[in-house]
Amino acid sequence: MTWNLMDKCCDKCWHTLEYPCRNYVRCRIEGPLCHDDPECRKKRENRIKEILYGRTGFKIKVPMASCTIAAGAEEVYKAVLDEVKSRGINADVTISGCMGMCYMDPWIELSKTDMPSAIYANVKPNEVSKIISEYLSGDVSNAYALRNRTGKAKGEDKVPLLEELPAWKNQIRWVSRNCGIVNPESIEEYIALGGYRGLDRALRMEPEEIIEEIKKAGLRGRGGAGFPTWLKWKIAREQPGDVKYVIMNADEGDPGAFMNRLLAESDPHRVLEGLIIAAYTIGASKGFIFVRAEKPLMAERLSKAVEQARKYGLLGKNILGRGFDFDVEVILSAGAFVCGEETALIAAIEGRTRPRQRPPYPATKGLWGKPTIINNVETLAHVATIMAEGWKKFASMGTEKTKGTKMFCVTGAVQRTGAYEVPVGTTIKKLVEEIAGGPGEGRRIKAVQIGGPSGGCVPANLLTTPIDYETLQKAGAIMGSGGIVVIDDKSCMVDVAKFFTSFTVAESCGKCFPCRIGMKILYDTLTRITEGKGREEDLEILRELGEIVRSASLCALGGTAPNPVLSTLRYFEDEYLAHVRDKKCPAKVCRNLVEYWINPEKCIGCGTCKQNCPSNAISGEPGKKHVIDVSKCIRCGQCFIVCPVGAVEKR
Amino acid sequence: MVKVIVNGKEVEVSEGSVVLDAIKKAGYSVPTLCFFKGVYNEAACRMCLVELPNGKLVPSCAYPVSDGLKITTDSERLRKTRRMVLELILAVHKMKCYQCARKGGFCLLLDFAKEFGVEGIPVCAECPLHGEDCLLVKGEPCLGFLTIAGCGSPCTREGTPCFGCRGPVTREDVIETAVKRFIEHGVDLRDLHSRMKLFWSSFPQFKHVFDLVLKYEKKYMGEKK
Amino acid sequence: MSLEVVERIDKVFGHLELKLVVDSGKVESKFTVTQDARFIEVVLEGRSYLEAPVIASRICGACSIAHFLASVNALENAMGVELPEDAMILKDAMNKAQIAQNNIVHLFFLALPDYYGLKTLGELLSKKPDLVKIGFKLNSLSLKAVDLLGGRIVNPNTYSVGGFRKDLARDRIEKVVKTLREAEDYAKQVLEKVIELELPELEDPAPNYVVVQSPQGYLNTSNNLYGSDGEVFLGIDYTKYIEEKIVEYSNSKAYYYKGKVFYVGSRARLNAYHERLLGYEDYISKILKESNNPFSNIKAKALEILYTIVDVRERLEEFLDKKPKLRTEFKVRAGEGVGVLEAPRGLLIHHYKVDNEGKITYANIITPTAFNSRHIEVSATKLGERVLEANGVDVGELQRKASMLIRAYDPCLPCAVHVTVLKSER
Ligand SMILES: Cc1cc2nc3c(=O)[nH]c(=O)nc-3n(C[C@H](O)[C@H](O)[C@H](O)COP(=O)(O)O)c2cc1C
Ligand code: SF4
Ligand code: SF4
Repeated sequence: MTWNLMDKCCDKCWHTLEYPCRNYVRCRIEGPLCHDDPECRKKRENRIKEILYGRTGFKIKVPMASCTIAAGAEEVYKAVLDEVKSRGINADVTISGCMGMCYMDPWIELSKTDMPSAIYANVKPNEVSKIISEYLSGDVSNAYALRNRTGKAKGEDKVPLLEELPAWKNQIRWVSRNCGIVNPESIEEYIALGGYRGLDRALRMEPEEIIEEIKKAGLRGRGGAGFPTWLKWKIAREQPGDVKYVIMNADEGDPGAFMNRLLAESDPHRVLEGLIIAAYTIGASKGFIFVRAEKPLMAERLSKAVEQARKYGLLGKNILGRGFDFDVEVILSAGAFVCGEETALIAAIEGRTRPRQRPPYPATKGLWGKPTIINNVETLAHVATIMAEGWKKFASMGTEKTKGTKMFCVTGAVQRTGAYEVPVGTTIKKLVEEIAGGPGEGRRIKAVQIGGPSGGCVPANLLTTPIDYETLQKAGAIMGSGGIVVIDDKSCMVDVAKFFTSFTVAESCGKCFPCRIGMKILYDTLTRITEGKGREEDLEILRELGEIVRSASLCALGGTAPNPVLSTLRYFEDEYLAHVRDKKCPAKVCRNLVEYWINPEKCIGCGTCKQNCPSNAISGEPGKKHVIDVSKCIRCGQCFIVCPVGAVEKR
Repeated sequence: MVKVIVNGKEVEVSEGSVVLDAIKKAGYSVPTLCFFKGVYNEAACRMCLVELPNGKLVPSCAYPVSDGLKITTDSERLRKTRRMVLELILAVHKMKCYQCARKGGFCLLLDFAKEFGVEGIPVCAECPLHGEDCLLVKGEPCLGFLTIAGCGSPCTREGTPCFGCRGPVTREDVIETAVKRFIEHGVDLRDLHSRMKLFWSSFPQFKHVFDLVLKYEKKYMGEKK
Repeated sequence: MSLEVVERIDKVFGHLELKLVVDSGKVESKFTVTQDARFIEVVLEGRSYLEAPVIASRICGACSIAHFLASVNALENAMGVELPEDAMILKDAMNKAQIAQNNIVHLFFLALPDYYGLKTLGELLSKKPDLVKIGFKLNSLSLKAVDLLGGRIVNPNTYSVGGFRKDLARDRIEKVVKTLREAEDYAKQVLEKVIELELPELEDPAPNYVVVQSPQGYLNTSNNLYGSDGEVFLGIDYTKYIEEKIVEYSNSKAYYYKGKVFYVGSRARLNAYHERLLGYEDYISKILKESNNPFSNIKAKALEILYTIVDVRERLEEFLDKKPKLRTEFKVRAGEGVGVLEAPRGLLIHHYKVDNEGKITYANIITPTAFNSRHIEVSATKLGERVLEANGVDVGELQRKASMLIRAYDPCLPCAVHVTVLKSER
């Protein structure tokens, strides 16, 4: 059994859970602090090196997060283990979190002393053996990227460095710094990489000083609303009473956003550290992590992190000897979008349902009537990082109103899907085109939907908008949690609005009328329009009703739910008009509004379409041109799919 | 005590009150539907919305007062919003008013529908409230089932079956129930048609309504046979 | 010299014009109803006996009860319905309450300012605030009585052919009695004021009238008519005595009683039956001094206000101690019937034929203003001549006096124009 960095180095170390040492965290890396023993120092240095480079000098890292597992990382991991075992290679096979560059999944990283660390992308289990052999033979020419160069390996200069990749070089990895590097299931690794230093520093400060620090950093909540974190904390701190709560909102529910999951799965200790700092600041002794049951790995990693922290005295009584008691409970949420809303979240923990009217805000009257702060996973990760690195560096990034960085999940019509961290104020264009690679050859971005179902569509001509709470709001979208769906010219904007609306209709808790009924009516109206039964007055109904739902709803779900409709209506009114006036869907998406026809110039008369048409709408002799009888066509699109030469076209 | 300014008028209310208390104290009123003091103040119905100077709409029944808070209880926007909210509520209301258990009671929805001029509730909602028995049961050709409420049902209250002078309700489910009931009680359909044409023939929506009536008559007459 | 004075008369119900042609000392007048024609009789055909009174009551918003009851009377006669006496009394009470209310409106809102040399009620209000306030008060009280008896203030809904739909609750009758008791004193004050007014001098050029015969007292329902020449005849025979002519320049028709121009209304009623008004002798003797002056209609109206208020109250007081029978059973059958009724503005005739399902196959309605229209013309001619004699050609005076005269008749055009040429061709 090797010595663990978290353990005592020798008997002179007096740290116990009952009588914790104040310097416990710092001592792990800089130590020993209470006694000077070169032996002990050596022990630490060796262990850190082991952690970083592996005991054997050859480390193979496989990312294990929900996204990479879905892409096949588990099989790759097994293949690696098998390979190592069968070949008798002396290697450390470890797991890590996800880098956020989903288009590379699953990837593996091989690093050996004297060799550059090489990352191989889109690895299949049967390729593992070849990759390992090649690497061991000193050839990295097939790697996707390198972390560093040594000048010794073959093909090194043909492979770009990770930080040279367009997807990487425009990012600033601040909270996601450890993602894809650290082993998320090991507190030891986190500490070796400098973790819990923020907590260490925070506990040496007065709560007011922490608030001041966060204020100077200019951190705003990353959960969506952008409320200044320091202010929330200050309000909660100033409330009378000893019982207060902190809650980590890990209920990420927007379709298309996964940065919280990614952070919590890849670097769970960082968010936990943020939560502990928050608790210390407002004076809470109990915290909750509210996490979706549908994201089991995230819950598991967070629970594991809590367990480990508890084991080493970072949670529990008298944390780091500062007389501060705090413990955390992980709560699985049943997984309703509305539960991400603060008051609904509180209600869910209390065993009730549905949001309630704010004010009173949770910071004054929250869980069980006690002052409660709720922070987003990313916010808390930022807190931990700011406390470790100091406010200056954080405040030097971002815009005037919003400092720092923010993670965005870019999905949809882009070549490089992923979660990327950029300074606030980066333009949408840079994020979508440079980092995520745009929609690719021959396709055109039509709009970008930012903020998920609560957000709005920003049209292509506004892509130079810098991303910030205020600018996006002005453009009719919201930053929200940071999901960005890129929509290209193959999508119909009415259909897009309908999709997001269907989500909110399903997720509305049903407590208040504007959201429950208004959204349903919006949805029905959109459906009518896409079915070609729309009237021109419908646009006015959408607009008016949307405004009313927005202003009259009880919680922010209803308050933002009409955004997709309103913003598409604002920027793409012509598309709506084409649907209601000409009964045409310009993007040829809405089923009832497209007409299938067979282009006689392309048709080879194979008859496939005729065989597949469920309503016998196609006629034609074998070898002759086929035609579709529009009156019989039910627009199922079968012929469009099956035609081998693409002769069936939409119009 | 805190000072609250309601429509420019200053009032003092005790700390911990809600805006609604201040509004009442200042002598104004806002419509409330789901609010029952001390029993239910979940701010769910959104009828009692008032406007803050920053343009936010907040429910007066749940919004706590603070010193110097300025609120507006009436504006074009508020009226429109409340009206729309009411329309939404009515849109999902079942409108089986003849079955309403509130015999001799009150119906806030009906009151608001009158106040805001929202159509949809049939006159027959009023009979139970006045403690009247349904005239259809006596075989009278009463159009109350199909007529827009709001008149206070002076005719049925006097025992005279409704002539529909306020115009027809256009909601299909309401029409369906009405026709079903007419047939159940064996009211002469020709009498009813004549009555419908009496005041309704000049209403633009009449054709739509009458077509639906005929459609459901066909359906339920068929069933009866 | 020839002069045409066209006056659009304001402060009347509806739209009408009076054209006075003055040609070398001779005056000719044309009473033109410019209100658009309405097709009520056409609407009535094919309707059931339950709907007809409802439609008829919509002819006029002011005297809807009169139309309603005349229609009911005609249908009840057609189908041979025998009403219980209590129902008759209550029906009359309804009618009388409305007569009171209509007369009040006419006096205060339309006619009275003329006699104080003023144009509008607003001016009158500032000159004679006490009087006008009494008027308002009286109006609202009488409206309340109408409301309580008819179910609402217009288009009554308590009654249908065969009697009242429901028994009137005792407290409701009590309320009517209380209301009317309160109104009585005001009515007296008004009468005393009006009776002293100075009227423009004018001698009725055609002192003939027709009223509903009133066997028991004054203003009660009957099926007979009574002419100024002493002739009593059945309502159903009205066509034998009253002849109808179409007037090209007007949407209303002209009527002659035994070939003579005649008038209807409060003055006619008073002239015919003043002996039956017991207890009002002092007032009556004063009014009758000018009984031949068409302007005295307004004084007769003022008297009727007081009379109806007292009469209805006294009759309803009897109801307090018994359970009145207000409805009767009847069989729907074919028939023909005429309902004659003293409406606020005079004789009203509804004439229907019904088939054996109770559906109307023929309808004819003649309203007080239609009866009066010819009389208005001849009086206006007379008035014109008088003005010409006294003042020479004074257009302003001509217009003023003429419109004052017309207002004194209290014409109601919506009623008058329900008649159309179209109909008679059908
Ligand atoms: C419908 C709805 C869903 C939300 N979902 C989330 C969520 O999944 N995660 C989250 O952190 N915040 C969510 N929020 C925002 C939270 O209500 C709250 O503002 C946030 O957790 C505060 O944290 P912050 O100050 O760190 O941003 C949601 C809000 C609404 C209205
Ligand atoms: S806005 Fe929607 S989600 Fe929020 S309380 Fe109302 S119904 Fe529930
Ligand atoms: S499948 Fe295509 S090529 Fe074949 S017959 Fe149909 S349209 Fe022509």
